[in-house]
Amino acid sequence: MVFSSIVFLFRFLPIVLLIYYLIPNKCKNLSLLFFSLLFYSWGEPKYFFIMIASICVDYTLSLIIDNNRDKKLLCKVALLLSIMFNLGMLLFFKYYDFFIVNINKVFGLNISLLRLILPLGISFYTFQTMSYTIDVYRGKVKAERNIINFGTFVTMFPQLIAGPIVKYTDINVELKERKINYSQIQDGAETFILGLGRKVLIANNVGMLWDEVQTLGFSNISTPLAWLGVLAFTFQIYFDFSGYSLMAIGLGKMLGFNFPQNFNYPYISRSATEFWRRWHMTLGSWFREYVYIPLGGNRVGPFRKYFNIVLIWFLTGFWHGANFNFMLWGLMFAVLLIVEKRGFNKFLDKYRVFSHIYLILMVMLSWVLFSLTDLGQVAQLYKKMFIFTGGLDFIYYIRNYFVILVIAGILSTPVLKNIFNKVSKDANWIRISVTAIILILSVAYLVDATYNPFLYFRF
Amino acid sequence: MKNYFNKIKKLKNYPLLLLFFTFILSFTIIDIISPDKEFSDLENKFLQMTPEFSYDKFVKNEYVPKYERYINEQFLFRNKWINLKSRSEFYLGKTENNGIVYGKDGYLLDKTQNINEKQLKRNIESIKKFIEMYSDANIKFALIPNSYEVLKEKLPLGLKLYNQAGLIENVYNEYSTYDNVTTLDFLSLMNEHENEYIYYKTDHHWTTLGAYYAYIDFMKSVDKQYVDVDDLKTNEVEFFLGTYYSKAKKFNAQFDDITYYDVEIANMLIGDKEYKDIYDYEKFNVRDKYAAFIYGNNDLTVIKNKGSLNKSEDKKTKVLIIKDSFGNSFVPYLTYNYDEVYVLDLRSNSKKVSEIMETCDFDDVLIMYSVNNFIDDVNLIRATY
Repeated sequence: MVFSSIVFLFRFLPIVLLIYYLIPNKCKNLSLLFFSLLFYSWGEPKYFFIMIASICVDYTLSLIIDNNRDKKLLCKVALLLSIMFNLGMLLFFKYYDFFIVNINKVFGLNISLLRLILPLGISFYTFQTMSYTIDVYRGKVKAERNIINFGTFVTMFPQLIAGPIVKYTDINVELKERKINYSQIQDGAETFILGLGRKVLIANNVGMLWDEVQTLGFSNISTPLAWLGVLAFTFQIYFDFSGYSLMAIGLGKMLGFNFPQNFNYPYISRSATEFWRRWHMTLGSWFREYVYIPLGGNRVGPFRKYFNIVLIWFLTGFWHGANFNFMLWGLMFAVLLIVEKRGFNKFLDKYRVFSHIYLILMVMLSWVLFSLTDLGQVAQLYKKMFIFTGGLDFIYYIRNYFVILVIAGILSTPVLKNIFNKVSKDANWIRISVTAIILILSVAYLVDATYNPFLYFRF
Repeated sequence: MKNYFNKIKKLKNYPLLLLFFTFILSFTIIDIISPDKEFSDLENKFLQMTPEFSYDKFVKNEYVPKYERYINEQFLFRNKWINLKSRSEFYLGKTENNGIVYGKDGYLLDKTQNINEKQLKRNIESIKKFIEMYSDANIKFALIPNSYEVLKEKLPLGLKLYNQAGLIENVYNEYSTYDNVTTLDFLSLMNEHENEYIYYKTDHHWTTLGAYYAYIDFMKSVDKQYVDVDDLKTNEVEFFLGTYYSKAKKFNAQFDDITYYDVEIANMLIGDKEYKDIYDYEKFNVRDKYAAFIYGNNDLTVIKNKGSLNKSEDKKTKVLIIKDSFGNSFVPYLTYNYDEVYVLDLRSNSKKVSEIMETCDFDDVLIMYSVNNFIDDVNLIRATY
């Protein structure tokens, strides 16, 4: 199930919340676990058992670690098993076919593909459970002895399929004891609605423009339209993803959990370094904590330092999808980060306007790599963007999408949010009406939804 | 209890929370108890009804998609929500919705930018085979351009759509080597009349007038006299909103008028059912008014006529028309020229075409499709069965 659907808004959510608020605290986690499993199995009942296996394996292995602190070897073996299990699942479901295709190509073999449907959210929950075992091993937290609590952590429906990546240490206290009050629920509802609006009203809308440019074919369009298309995708990916994260955070709040922030206006960044501090923050910090720092981080020799950066961004890219374009996308950022670290950032610091243009341009170019799995298409689009082709085709699309692109542009900066926060102090009703209008419009768009893709199914 | 009461009283300090929960809860409850609708007049389509649950279907993931469609299509005040979306799109400056472009003068136009080349190839081959199978037949082949091709002037600036002219030329070239087939140039014909009301504004079909020009062209090609519409009694039906409107749901769409002429026939057979009229008059009162013409798309329709303009003493004149729904408003004219008109719609065809071809000795055979249907229709292969 996805949040941006009538079924979720007018069946699942009200029923879950009603039951959740009415039952005593003792049973809240159990009900959350139950509903999360329902949420997860809704579209793909087959993968219910993968989830159960995931819970049981990490629960058991972490207990073994926690109960045998003095037996170093046993702990190591248990940790290794957990990591192997989680990565194994991810490799098997997400990357198996990719490797086989390429092995077949290189060695001229004909090994058959599995063509598995990627279990929802597997990229997210495998990372979450892995971090849990690692943290238990490191002694940062005690193992969770109550399997219902643990299962709730793994499956919790708000963040199950598209993040943010919530580490066990982020919510272990709240899992056992949390206060739910009106003001928090109200905050959560507001955050959820704002996220819903971002996804349904903006991401879906500009996404149609990108889709159209693709259907027209990159060889048939003018250069301005090519740029317009890439701009549309730039907004789509941001509003889709950040909208979904916001919905998750809002739902979490309504249930009494504080999930970490995942986006902080990435498009106002002035360098790739800053961009990655503002984009998909929980993924960035996950890689930093569990891969980059264990590898020595930047407290190593210069060569090793750059190698680490390349490795991390290669993995970050590959995590997004089993394809070469995602690797290239990650590597592109590795190169930018290294160039900036070598001194370019000092230059960027001095020139404000230039640094903004530089960053947004690089990000847009990177999204070309990200959005097209076919590298031939990538080349074609780059060519179209940089070798000028005239034409009037863009006029039609500008006319149709001008307003929404301007709105998306403004909402990519904190300007409106600052006004929103100031206004609400004196005139709360404005804030409430705006939120209500967003909710109503979102529902209208969902009822007549011809275009409501979910970009994260492949993650 | 008092504690509980106090808690509820405090809620009034949280207006947004109240609003949100009242909204989703009340809509959920009313939506569940309100009765389901079978048909959407606005969208001209049947709506999903409660799907039957079974464990088997759930596991195979056949239940959930249906259930989600059911919830969506039966959602409370569905039409009002759709209207709201249509309005907000309008204020955003959008000139299209759901693949339908808003052209000048109230014309809604199909936004075809890419086509299914594979199916097109298959269809070209099917017709080729048909032509080869019946080398004695006198076959006319016509592709009807869709409105966006003819009414290019009405398209918004900068919008490039698929080039039907090139496609028609290519398809016609495929058949140019056969002696038993003539292609009819409807594109030039329609272009000549582009300033007249030859296509509906809200529907994908041509108007009765558009069909009339095509009819004249066909009659000229078979060297027969054609009927003059000025001699016929004209009827107008107002307030027609067609298929394009159903898709786009444009809140301020303009209505179309449907013209039909009084046509006298002996009888009309659709399957085993016999009709006295060529029109299904009841349909003029409902949303899908175009379905009035020859009772919509049916398998084989045989119309027997009272007297034709081209009467031949020794033999009954017969025509076969293999068509899509564009043919429906075209057929009434043919009743003036042939004793018997056979109308075949391959989309709902259960009879073998070869049987019909063998048992009836047709003077003329007309294969007539709109370009978009000719590209996409998967049933053309049946012409060769």
